[in-house]
Amino acid sequence: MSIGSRAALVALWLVGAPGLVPAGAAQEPSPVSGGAVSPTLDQETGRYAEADSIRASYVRPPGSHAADWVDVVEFPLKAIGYPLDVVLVKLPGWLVANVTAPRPPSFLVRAYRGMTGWGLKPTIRTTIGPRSGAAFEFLFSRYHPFYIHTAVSLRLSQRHRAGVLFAGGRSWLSAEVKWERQAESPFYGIGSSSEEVDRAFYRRDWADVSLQTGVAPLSGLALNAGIGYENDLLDDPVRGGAESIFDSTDFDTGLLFGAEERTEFVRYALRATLDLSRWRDFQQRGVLIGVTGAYYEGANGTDSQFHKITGVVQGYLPINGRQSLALRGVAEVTRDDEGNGATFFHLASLGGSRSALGFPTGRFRDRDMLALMSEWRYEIWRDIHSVTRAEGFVFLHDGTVAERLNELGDADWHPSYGFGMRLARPEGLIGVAYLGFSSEGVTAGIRGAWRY
Amino acid sequence: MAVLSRGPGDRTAPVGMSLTECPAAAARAVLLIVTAAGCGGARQVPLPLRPQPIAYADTLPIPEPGGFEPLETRYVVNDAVSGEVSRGISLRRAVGENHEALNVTHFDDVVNSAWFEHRNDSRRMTPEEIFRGPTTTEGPDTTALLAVIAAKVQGISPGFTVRDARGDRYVVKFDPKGFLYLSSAAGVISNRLLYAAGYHVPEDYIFAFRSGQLHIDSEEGATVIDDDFVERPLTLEMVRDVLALTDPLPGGHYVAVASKYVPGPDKGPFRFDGTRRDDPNDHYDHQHRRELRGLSVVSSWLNHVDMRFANTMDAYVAPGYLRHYLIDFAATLGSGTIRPHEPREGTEYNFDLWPTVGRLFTLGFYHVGWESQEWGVIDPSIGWMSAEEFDPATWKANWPNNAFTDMTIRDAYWGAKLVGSFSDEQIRAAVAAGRLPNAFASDTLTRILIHRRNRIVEHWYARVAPVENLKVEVDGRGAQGDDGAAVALSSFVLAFDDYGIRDGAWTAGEATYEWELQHDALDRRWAGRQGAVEGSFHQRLSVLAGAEDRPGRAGFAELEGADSIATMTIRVLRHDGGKSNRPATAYLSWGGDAAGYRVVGLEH
Repeated sequence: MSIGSRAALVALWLVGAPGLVPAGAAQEPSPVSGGAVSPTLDQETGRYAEADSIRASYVRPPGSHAADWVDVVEFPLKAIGYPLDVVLVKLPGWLVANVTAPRPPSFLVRAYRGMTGWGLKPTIRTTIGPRSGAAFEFLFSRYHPFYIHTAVSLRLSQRHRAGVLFAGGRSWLSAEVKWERQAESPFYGIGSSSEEVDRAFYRRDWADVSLQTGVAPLSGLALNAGIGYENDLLDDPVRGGAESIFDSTDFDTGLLFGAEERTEFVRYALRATLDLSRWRDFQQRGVLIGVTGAYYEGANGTDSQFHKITGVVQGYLPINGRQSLALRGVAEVTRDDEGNGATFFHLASLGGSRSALGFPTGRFRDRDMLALMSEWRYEIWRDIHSVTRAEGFVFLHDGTVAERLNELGDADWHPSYGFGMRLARPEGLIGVAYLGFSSEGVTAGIRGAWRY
Repeated sequence: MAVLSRGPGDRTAPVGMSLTECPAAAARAVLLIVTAAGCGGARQVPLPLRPQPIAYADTLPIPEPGGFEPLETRYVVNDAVSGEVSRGISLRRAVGENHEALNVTHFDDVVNSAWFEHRNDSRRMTPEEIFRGPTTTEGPDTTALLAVIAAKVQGISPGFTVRDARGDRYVVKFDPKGFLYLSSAAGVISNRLLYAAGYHVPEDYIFAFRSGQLHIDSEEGATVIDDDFVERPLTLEMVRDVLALTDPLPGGHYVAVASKYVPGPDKGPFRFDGTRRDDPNDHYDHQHRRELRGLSVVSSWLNHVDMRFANTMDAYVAPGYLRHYLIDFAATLGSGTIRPHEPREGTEYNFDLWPTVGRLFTLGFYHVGWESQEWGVIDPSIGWMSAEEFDPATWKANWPNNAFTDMTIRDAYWGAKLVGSFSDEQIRAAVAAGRLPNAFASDTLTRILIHRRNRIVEHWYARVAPVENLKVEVDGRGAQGDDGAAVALSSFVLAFDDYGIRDGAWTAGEATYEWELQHDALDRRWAGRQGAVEGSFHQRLSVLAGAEDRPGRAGFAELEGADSIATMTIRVLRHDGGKSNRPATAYLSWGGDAAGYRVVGLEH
């Protein structure tokens, strides 16, 4: 383009777009926003050459701020912060954006929905006994009231059960056959002074047949009764790397009833629960009281009879709409009635989310156990539509085990404390992540459910 | 105060020079060091010596850009976490070296562009014009059946798209059950006010119709995307499902907001930072655009907490450029689209990092004011919107964006001027466009908007010296001193408008102007103080230097070009104990004996 024609074009543009005169002098609204110049598209380049040349002729403020001394001083901070930003924010943000993006469901999502709709529901949980690791589960319930449930965990614990469940308005009845393998259950010895360094593992293969029924005569009150048969056999842990209690020099498994012989029991159980707690606006309120009694009678040559009684009291005290105190007390009593008494894996235990979060599940064992738990829960964020909220919590747990309840005062008590975050809906919990601390180190976990 | 001083040999170049002007630099890090060593450290040149933005420069034709469908969550997380951390530990913020907007004229304003056009602030629109806003018709033409051509059944705000007898297309959205007019009226009222403020918005209408006026456009193959994002043929039953989500009027009509398709294809939203690479017209980083920074103040007025890039749109309009629209105002005023607004909105981000951290580490004992605020729905048709509790300084949208968070006092004042330009009558006209169902709702909403406007004006005007339209009316040329020599080049009258008086932030009786005239090149300085004249917002300052201070005419005459600029700062002192504000700096240029002084720039 010649200089002359370019000048003419600029002049034409100026006429057509009066706003091109210097600003400050031209503030009147223009009805010709967009200009009066008919653009000519260069078919070869796909560009508007005239417009490009006009644009190139502009003298105007820079489009970005030039670096100044602040940028220089901040540069090292930004250089350090950038990788952190990428790892801690940008990448998670990108992942969350892609996971939550409104888009057609992926093959996996469609497969999940298809399976669930058909009656086969896959889930991930951590429910197969102590030290299970995440478990992949399938629940098949297409032919209600029959169901089949199968699960395998990362540490190769397994649970397979099949049954039938009849549920009415205020009552239910179920019958179930189950086989469960706890692949790597830990054992530290008996008593409140057992040493962490003595930890060893065993495998428990547990076959179970049960019949249970329940009724809820009043709102909040539930009564359950059941009878079952269980068959337990212990062996070395599944994974070769875990030290077996049978190889440990710290224990004489010959003195641990149930360790070296198959045990069989008929089990009778009764449970009463008075649940006066309710979820309201993200908070639990009220009280829950539960008592469970179970009687184990040896069968097929197992010389044993014992019983267990467990009592639970939970209370929720909202301080205000955003803060609350949750309390829980658990007491468990095991009593030998005849023969060898209770198998060691049926003894009361302290540790884990049920009783002492700063210790691993089953850390302390003895006949009796008392755990006192408290959590301070508080809102830290809720979404704008109040559909979910994130809560922080700090907890302080304390407890011990002993031969007898009246000896608890003389036993070693084991406090643990920690903090975590909860994600909740107005009417229930979605999940919890926590870090627990105790005299024996740190525990951490992510859970989809909580004891209280 | 802005200064003229510069080092020798650097008389005209902007000192915050582009890094690329440092010749030995190849990489940014090296450039930064070089800048520190030699290029940086100096101060900004005065406004009149910088290039100005060019009106409508961004309406030149460009090749048609592709679509832009960003994953909003990614940006939201980034802005809400990284952005907040960066701002929280920002040295720039700590030392008060915030970047000012880039696209400002010599008079601290913006030019008309594809982003913004001066409307009510440059020419007072009539109430009728405010009422009509951007609309060109009375809404969808219902002389024939309305063809439903698409529907949105997922999301929190279902609706559908219709084509009317004229062939125009509208997005139709409804109010939540129990809150008739809540989002539709808010959407239309805000639409009118944002249009009059200068922003590009679609034509929004309050629209009433009967379900019998709808039919499915089978020829066009009307479809709907369901929750699984499967496209299915649209049926009247689906349309009725959407209608079931709202309440009909007593007579069986449905009321909705109908938003007309903007001209040109949709090219996705615009972001509040960076530029769009496929738009050659997009010159300024969006976070440094005055219109977008000032939009924060306008949004605070309208309680437009949902001002995020998902509610913006770039449209490729004739003759071939991107015009930048604000769309969907359902979550404004007292409406949260599907429910009334709550006190938290406008006070705290949806995810506000620092309050969240505060609660986390104080076990929930750290409280923000809204948490204990009592509130209730004012009226189902207007929801809830704060008036007395409204704090212009702390208002926040639901999500942070860089343009809003980078806003400086100058930007905020600019936005406040837009808000302050609306008279009570104009606000009443805009509210009338919302066709609220009762006088109580209309009057209450009008009063709230007036109150919030006043709060904004009082707050932001007090942070600057809101003087505008400066002009040297009488200068001292020809005057002679006692000795007969030429005097008083510094003697003149500076006329200006005090917007604080004009818009009701203070009265003339409350204001005194403290001024200081400085000419660095002559190393001379004059100062004075003068009370505001009552009865008008037009004010005049007599700038009379004492004989011992006056510069000789020859002294000025020798100065040419940029160095002939003198600076005059004006500060408004308020007798009511109002906070001292930053002064406005007027730049005066000596045009020679014939022209005398003239105002060539203004910085607030």
